[in-house]
Amino acid sequence: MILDVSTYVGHWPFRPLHATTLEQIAAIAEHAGVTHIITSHLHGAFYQDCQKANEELYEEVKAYAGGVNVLPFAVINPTYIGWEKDCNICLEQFGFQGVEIMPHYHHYAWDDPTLVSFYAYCGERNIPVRINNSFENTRQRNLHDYPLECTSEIPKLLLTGKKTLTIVTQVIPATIRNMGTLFGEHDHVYFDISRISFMTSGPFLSKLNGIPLQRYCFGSLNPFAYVECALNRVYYAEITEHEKEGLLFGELAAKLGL
Amino acid sequence: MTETTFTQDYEKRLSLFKDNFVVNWHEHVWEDSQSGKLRENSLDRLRKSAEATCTDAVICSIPLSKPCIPDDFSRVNRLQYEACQRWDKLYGLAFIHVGYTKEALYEIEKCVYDYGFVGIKLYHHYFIDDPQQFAVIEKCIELDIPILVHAGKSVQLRSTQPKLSAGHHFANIARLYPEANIIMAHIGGGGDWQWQIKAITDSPSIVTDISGSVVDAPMIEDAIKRLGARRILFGTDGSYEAGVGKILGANISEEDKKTILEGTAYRRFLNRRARK
Repeated sequence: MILDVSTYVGHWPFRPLHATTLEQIAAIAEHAGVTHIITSHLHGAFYQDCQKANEELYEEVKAYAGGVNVLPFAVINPTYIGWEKDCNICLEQFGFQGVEIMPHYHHYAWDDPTLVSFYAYCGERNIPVRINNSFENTRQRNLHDYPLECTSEIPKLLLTGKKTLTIVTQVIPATIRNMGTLFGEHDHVYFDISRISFMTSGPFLSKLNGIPLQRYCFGSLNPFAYVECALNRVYYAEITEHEKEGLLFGELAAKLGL
Repeated sequence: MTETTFTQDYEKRLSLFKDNFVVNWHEHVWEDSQSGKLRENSLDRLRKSAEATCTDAVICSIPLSKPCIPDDFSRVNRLQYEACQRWDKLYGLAFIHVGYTKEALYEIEKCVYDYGFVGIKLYHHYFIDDPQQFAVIEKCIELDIPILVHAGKSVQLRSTQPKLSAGHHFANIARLYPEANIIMAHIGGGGDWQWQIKAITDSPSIVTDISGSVVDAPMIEDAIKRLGARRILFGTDGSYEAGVGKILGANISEEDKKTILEGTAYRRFLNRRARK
């Protein structure tokens, strides 16, 4: 089994994606051998009221009849009116499995007290939180997009609580180096491996930077990126088969109740 | 029924690489700046990666990002030659700085005739359509060798490489020298790959390689639509998992994948080494 923690439904305003509906994205995942996906709706980054995007995702999930297990996450902006009610609707009525926060698109700071309070709220209620460091490489990012990586910003939030199960995706090696120092002991934070290259830059284990292997997981950024690029990182990693299986469907999957 | 592992399942998909001739047109080994010798682990890692991905030929160079003089490019080309001597799947590209025309022309001939190199590598010292490049381009036409040119189109960030050639520079040089065999490097090297592909669409003498760490979909499909498979070469430039993944994941025909992997249009340049 393979859990892909980094997939998205919807349109991206800065370039056409080769898949935009849940059905299309799940089909790409299935073709690549992925059995479970965590997904949220991209429109939630751009709508004034991101709950509208969650409703769109709910409709897509309801209509989906394919073979991939879908774990929908709600995009929540805790600085926007009515977020708590929206969050409850998504989790209790829609059956969503977690939330995604996007401070870089919703224009509040990573250490904003409102966000810190929301992060603690998620921890208290066992709501998993997903954070995407960057959708596109900074060198090609559209001028209207968020300009820089959030590498130095994300830890400000993660350090505020040890209870909240958090998935950080699209982290670059430099970020992991920094976060390794900060989060080696924090077993609430998981990182995907989508941007770490092991083959020509050195053995897998030397790249872990103080974070135990079981705290890494598989993420592809489907449909922004080719799923096989991330699968190759697992396939070619110089680790045991058991460890590979753990990356693909390990500790995080268990914590998510899968 | 026996349960298969992830590795066993995934290996089946890699038969595309196992069953076909694979040429990687963009890789590097490096110089140890302290000792001035070949950095051994760069060759070891490259060899290991190439073997793991069933690559049959790796085209390689040692570019210097710092300002360099003829002694410098001559030194790294010698190291590249040593690396090629130690691994028969490695093919060299001569790295030169076109600011030193006379020495660069001499170095190219030396690398082709003495070292058996199959082409040259240009960095971002000048835009590819700068007149300073012309003598070197003419020499490569005369020798019938390809030119791999570092390239990219930065969007948001101010480039640390002010003379980085973008797609439109390649279109310009293709108009001036349509007989030159020029590779616009790494559409996945970071930057606006849509710009890069679009800019060279109507320049049939310009080909590109897919190397680089950027794995945006549908980069390969877009390149196929605009350029066709014969104008696309397989490459990795230090990102082996990414390069292999882009080919495996692209929604294009098996024939097109094979054409890219083999580098059909550029295959003849590998015979150059026979001159040695």
